[in-house]
Parts: sequence; structure tokens; C-alpha cells
Amino acid sequence: MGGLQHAFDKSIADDAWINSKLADIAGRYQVVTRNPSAVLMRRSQS
Amino acid sequence: MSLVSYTSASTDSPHSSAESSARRRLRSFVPYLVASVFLIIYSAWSINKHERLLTAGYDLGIFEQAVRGYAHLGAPISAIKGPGFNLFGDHFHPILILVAPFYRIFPSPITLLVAQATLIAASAIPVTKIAIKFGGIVAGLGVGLAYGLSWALQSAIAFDFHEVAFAVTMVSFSLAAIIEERWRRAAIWAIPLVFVKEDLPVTLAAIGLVIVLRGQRRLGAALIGFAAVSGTAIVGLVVPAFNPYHAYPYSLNQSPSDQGPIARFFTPATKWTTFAWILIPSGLLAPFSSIFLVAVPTLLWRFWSTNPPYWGMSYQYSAILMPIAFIASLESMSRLRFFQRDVRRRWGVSLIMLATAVIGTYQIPGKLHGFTDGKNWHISREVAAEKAILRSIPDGSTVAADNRLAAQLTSRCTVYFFPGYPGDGTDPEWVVYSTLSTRASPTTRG
Repeated sequence: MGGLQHAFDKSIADDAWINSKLADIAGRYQVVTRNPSAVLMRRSQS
Repeated sequence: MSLVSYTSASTDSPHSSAESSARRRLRSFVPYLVASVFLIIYSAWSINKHERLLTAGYDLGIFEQAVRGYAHLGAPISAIKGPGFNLFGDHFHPILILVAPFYRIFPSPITLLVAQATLIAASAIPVTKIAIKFGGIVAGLGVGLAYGLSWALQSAIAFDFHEVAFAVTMVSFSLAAIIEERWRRAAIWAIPLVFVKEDLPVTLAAIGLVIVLRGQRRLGAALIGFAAVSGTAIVGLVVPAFNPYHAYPYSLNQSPSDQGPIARFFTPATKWTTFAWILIPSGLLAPFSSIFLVAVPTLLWRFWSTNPPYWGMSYQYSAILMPIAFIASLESMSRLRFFQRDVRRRWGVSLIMLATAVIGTYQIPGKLHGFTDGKNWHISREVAAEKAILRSIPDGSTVAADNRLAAQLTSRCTVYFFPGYPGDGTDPEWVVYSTLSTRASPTTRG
């Protein structure tokens, strides 16, 4: 799949992008479950 | 060239003039035995990786979304690539429709992994048959095992699911038919390559060229013509018609660069390493057979590309080259009388090929020898915790999941790619991401 490189560069290797997205959605999503391995967030009811 | 010019070992004993029916049955049975062994190994290893969260949204999740679309009589839409994204705008692989009936019965990414294992294992049947034809049962068994263990097939199995698994099978059966001078059969196996991926019409044309060179000019020319028309239509019309930018999205990989053409083909050294390891497992003799011409288009586009992942030994890109290299090499060995009726020589050839296949395993990441490591058959506490979180997402939900977790959800949810989404007006109900190993590529793990 040719999107491979994009995904590896952007999703897997770029924490900055993830943190930026988390900051962006902070008001719209809330953490439901967090454990040492993963985080689950749910869209806020509005 | 006629088969009569080959050295063909019709028996394993130089003194037996006629095969017993038991030996004939054994000769028929061994190729299927080899394929069955690898079906079990490939399936077990890829399912194991999926259970340990070592598969990914890119690409298993994307392909599952496509097959899921087909299974419900829809288009190959992949939300991971983007909301409503039709994969025909990315690559042309309608052959995936063939997986859909099985997916409808077993709606799971594991269905795709087993389909891939089946296809690649099946490609060992013609390779082993040709090896038995030229070298007898012992050599055939050794070569078949060497083929199944070859690093490029392992790289494909180690990295999710890819449509090229169909091509590995088709090319293997087609080239074996060429060796047997069964021209129509060779064409029938090769023609569907155009439905596997857009780069494969050129491989079909190369098969046509080999058939022309062996005296079947009309059939070979017809294949070349069909390949040219279909390839042009796919890349020039079909993919752009579905692509959001109305273009073939990978044309930039082939665009001019600052390098001269020679430097571009032959540097960096990674390309030499890959080329060497394409020849080594099959005994180095593949280029001495015209069959090897079939490998040239794949080598050219990969080494000409500006995209570094195409140059090396990771991912699925070299899988299609293995049946070509093995069958070409077997033909060369036969012409050079490597398979004379000397049992020790035949044992030697097969053992050397088997040894190089095993050594080749250590040249790639994600290698199959992890199969023998007991810790790889254990679900860690961390992975169990990730799975527990995934279980709390209801079926039918919309989810933005990261690359590591996406393929765990695509069979029961509409999955978007996190951190690409939420955003752009698409806000899934859930967001889930792993805090483990997020930097590791799925091809370098386990």
C-alpha cells in the first residue's frame, strides 16, 4: 500500500502530531479509560 | 527450447528404468506436502502476530475495509485512508473480490491473513513440481522448502496482508507452465495479473515476451498487447477517475531526480544488497534463464523509484520475485546439468539452497525464526490491557484508532486513522490509541 510511508512518518514516528491532535480535541473528547498500555476517549455529548 | 534438451531426473535412482506407482504418487504428493507445511506455518505466524497486536491499520486494516466493502456488495471504501475513500483511487486491485465470500462467512482480519498464507503456500506447488521434474524427489523437497523459507516470502507474511499474494501464485503457476511448454495454461495464469495491482501489467508483458522468445509469437504478442492496453487504461484512466486529485498518486515516485539514470538505478548500496539476496536463495543462476526477464519490470520500477522502502528487503515488495528467481534458476541448473543423475549432487544442490534460505531469514526484520521463540507465543500483560480497552468499544461504533490498534477494530467498527482524525468535520464517537511501541514499525517487530 503506497500510503505506507506517509503513515509511518506521520503516525508512528511523530509524537508531536499526536500531542497536537490531543490538544485540538481536548474540549470535544474526554478520557473514559486510561491504563498503562492505551487510552480510550469518547466524544462529549453536546 | 524444447524440454527434451533439459536434464530431467525422472527417478531418484540411476538404475531404475520405470517408476513404481508408489514413487509416482510420492512425486505427486510432495509439492502438496510442502505447500501444506507452509500454509500451517504462515497462517500460525501471521495470526500470532495479529493476536499480539503486531499487525497494523496500514495495511491490514485498509485491506480489510476494502474486502468488507466487497463482502457487502459495496465499493472498496477505506475510512482509514480517509472518509469515503475508494481504494481504486490509490491502487487497482479488484482481485480482492475473491476474498469477499470467505470474509462474509468469517468476518475477521484473520480471514485475509489465512487467504494470504494459502496463496503464498500454494505458489510452492509449481516450484516444487519443477524441481522434482528436473532433480527428483529429494531435490524437489529441498528446493520446495528453500522456496517456502525464502526471505521475501517471509517478509510478505511478516507484514500484514497484501494483494501481491495473488500475483505470487499466478506467476509461479504461469512460469511453471512455460517450463512445461503448456502455453495456453501459462497465459491463463498470467492474464489476471492485471487485476492484482497496477504495476503488474508490465510483468504480464514480460511473461508475453518470454513466450515470444520461446517461439509462441502470436500468443506472446497478444499478451504484450493486452498488458499495454490494460496497464495504460488502469494508470491513465481508472485510478485517476477514483482519486480525489484525479491523478495516479504514485507518479511522483517515478519523476526525475537530481541523480543521473545510472546512479539512480544502482545507488545506494541497499539496491545491490536486495538484488544479491534475490539471486542467492535460488542458487544465483536465475539470470541465465530468459524466465528471469519477468523480474525485470519489478526491479526497474522499484530501483528507479525515489521512495526508499521500495529499495530494500522489508515489506512485501520482493515476494513476487521469489517464484521467478527459483523457477529461472531451476531451468538454468537443468541446462547446466546440475541435476545429472548423481544423487549426491542433487542432495548438495537442495541442501545449499535450503541453507541459504535459512541464512537469508536473518537478513530481514520481522523474520519467521521468531516462530521458534517461546516468548512470542505469549500475550503480554501490556497487550492484554490494550485488548481490554478495545473490548469496551461497542460493535458498530465509529472510532479513530492509531496504526497499532486499527486492524483490531475494522471487522466490527468504522475505523478512521488517528491522529488524522478526529478533524475535518469527521468526529468519530471514540478515539483509542496505544501508549506502547508507537514508534516501532510492524515490520520490525516480532
